[in-house]
Amino acid sequence: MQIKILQNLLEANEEKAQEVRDFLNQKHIFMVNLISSPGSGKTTLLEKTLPILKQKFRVAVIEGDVETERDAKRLDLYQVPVSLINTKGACHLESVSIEKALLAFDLDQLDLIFVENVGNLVCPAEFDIGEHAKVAMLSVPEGDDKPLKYPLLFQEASLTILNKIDLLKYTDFDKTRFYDDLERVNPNLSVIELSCKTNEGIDAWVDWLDKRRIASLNRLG
Amino acid sequence: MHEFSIIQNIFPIIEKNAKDHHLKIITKVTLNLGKSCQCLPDFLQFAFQTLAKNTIAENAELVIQEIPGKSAVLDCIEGSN
Repeated sequence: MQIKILQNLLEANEEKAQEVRDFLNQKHIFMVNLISSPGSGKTTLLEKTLPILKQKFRVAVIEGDVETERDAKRLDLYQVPVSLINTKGACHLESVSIEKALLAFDLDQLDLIFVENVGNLVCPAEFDIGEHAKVAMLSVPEGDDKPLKYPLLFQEASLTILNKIDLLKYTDFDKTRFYDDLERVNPNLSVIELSCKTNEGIDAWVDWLDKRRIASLNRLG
Repeated sequence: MHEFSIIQNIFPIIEKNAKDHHLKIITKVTLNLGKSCQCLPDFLQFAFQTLAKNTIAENAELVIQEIPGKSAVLDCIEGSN
């Protein structure tokens, strides 16, 4: 006898993610899930943009860290609420950990939440955490081949940030190949070229956040 | 990447459906696996063999069918009473 079941095995996380998103929508908060490999500059990007964003929005950060509180401490200097999730070895964040991390904030006093995911190009792409946009970050020294090697992340992302472009002249990073590959993986993906050293691209990033946030709020009506 | 947790999720569903339909032995479990799910079929098989021990599906065959997208869906089970 055959019994048809058709049950989604990833459903529990996806349902919880939708609950988180609905809750954030009620509070008119826009949440960004920042994903990259270790060392590509997620925390540095936040250090560069928090002082600018703070003038416009009420911002908070959820820090996903496997073991330490180092990144959270770095961001403490910017006097925004920071909620740390130590994953104790786990390679990605899930929506249930975000729900808990949100308890640390006064959500009536926030416009924008960044989630700095665990440094990893594979697993974080698989898990909806209730964000409004996934941002995939890649840095020049990692190489131009990453969109083809980790296609899911670049398919799921709304934006790719190419960081450390000040190092382009010192590496064999082939921008033409990078853009061709991205086009194959996700033709609708926006790209911002950026350098946290020279500040190039920071304005475009802040502008993108502003526009996406407004678009997301408008969709709610 | 998360083959064990995916497989872990299927056993309570198998047990419940088997009970509802009065099945004593499960012989086949079919899983629909998204092409972009980032799960390796070999790892899923290994996880299934490991975790099926001492369950109603201990000797069942795991069949994995590729589908588009990134979902993992328990498609159907087969068994007898």
